[in-house]
Amino acid sequence: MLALLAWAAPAAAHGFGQRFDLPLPLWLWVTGAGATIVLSFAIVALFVRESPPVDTRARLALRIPGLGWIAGAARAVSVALFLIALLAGFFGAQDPYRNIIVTMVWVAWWVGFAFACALIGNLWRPLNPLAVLFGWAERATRGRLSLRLRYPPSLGVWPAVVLFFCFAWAELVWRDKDVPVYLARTVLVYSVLAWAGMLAFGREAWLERGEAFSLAFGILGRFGPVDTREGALRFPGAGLAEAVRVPFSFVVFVLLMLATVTFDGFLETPLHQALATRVQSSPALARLLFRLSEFGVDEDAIISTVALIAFPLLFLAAYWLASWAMVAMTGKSTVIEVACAFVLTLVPIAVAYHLSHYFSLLVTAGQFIIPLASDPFGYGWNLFGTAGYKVNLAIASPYVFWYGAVTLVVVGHVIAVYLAHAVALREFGSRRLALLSQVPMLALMVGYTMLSLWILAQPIVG
Amino acid sequence: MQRRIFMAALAVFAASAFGQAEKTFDIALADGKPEGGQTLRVTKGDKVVLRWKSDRQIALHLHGYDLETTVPAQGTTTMSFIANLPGRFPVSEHTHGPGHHRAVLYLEVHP
Repeated sequence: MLALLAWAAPAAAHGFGQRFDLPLPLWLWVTGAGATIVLSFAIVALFVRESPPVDTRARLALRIPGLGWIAGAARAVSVALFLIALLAGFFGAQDPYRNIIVTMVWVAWWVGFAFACALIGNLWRPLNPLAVLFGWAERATRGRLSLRLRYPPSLGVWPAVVLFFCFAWAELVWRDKDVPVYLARTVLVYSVLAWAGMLAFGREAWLERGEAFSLAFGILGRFGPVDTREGALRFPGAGLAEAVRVPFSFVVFVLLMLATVTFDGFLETPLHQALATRVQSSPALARLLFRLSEFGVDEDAIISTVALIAFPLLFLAAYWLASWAMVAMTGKSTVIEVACAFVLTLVPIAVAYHLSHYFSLLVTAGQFIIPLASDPFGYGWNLFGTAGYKVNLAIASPYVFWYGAVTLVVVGHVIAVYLAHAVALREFGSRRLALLSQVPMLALMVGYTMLSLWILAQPIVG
Repeated sequence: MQRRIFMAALAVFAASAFGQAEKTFDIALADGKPEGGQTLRVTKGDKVVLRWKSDRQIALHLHGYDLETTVPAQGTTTMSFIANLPGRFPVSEHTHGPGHHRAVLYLEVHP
């Protein structure tokens, strides 16, 4: 009996690493890379003669009867799911496979909901349970629930940058992220922080500048064809070409988000493992790491944390260089203005990579939600009769992943290059300057897409 | 005896008829690390036999196929199965206590 128990615990500690995708075969990787370069030039050629054929400002107003009721019901469901996840985390069984919070947070929400936002639009704006709950409290107190402090403009979106970094660290480095009660505590701490921010500066002010996920899903949602603020349809990706003036901190936020999406894949490549081993075998660094590990910090965690800081800084440096080159090529504008104007056009490449990287996880690990819906707390309930459902790993065919991933990455790249040209025409006025400015941007985007393809072609080590 | 040879021949015939091959790997672990390569490649439908040998006692788990075996010190054990599920699967060591452990090796089942 004891032996059995000893078996059960470590089996659970392995998280969701049951099946990995096969790396892209070489020929497919080469095809994808070739298509990326050929199509990049095709788009440039398209812009040499004509103005963009797609109007990124075009909107088609949506009229859905009963939308208010549907949204109200969806908000109630969102709040209910948030509360069930928290309760399960605190009071449910602590086996990550039997407690709904782990699958809900890491698979259904962070992967599934992000997919929905990228493919539909910013659904977090109407459904964010933190905002909904605060809104209800505001209504109950007749709007007296804010200290109405002035949000310092110089703070930009820096609070969201810091909070998103903490979140990325939890997702990618934190070892106990699959332990239900720790995860629940973290969600609660974040929620209290968000409510404190809304209380201090007002709901909208904090949601726009401090609530990391409103920014993150807002950025992904700009890719989607539905504008949830205005209730209108637009071309996919058009939301990323809007002429919005963003502060420098927003550029940092976008690049941090893009870098962590890529870093997630990079962590699982043999190159990262080789680098980590190299660091650990260098005597000076090994001594330093050993010193740190005496304080109870784990060596792997230190290396991953340093890499998690370095990766976004590298992205920022590469983007800054491209922005500087754009200014140098055209002799117009300033580096910071160019950086702020173009940063969102990189998002489609990240969206495509995110979809490719996580699709299999969503359709395999996502199935855990079926048995968990019947027994969210791991108490042995069977509410919907689905508690005995076994995950079907064969659902993620390697062919679907291979062809789907390459197609998505190439399409994402094409949309990004197109948007960047549309923005360049707007920012630089003349067609000649726009084309000139896009030489460095195109180089950056090709490099970024190649990095995505390269990671997808690496055998996953976990 | 004759009957046995006949059955074996039939099995080989059946295997080749369905494009099925038998792939046997001898894996020697020294302190939980394989002496050869870290990735085993097979084709979907292959009959796979993994013959484990270890210098110390080690509990192994092949994910996805959910096969477990405990190799005694200086002993051998065998895992055998039909590779009908494509993908890349880690074989990891089960140790006591929480934490993430690097995979011992990977099995790639190509379509």
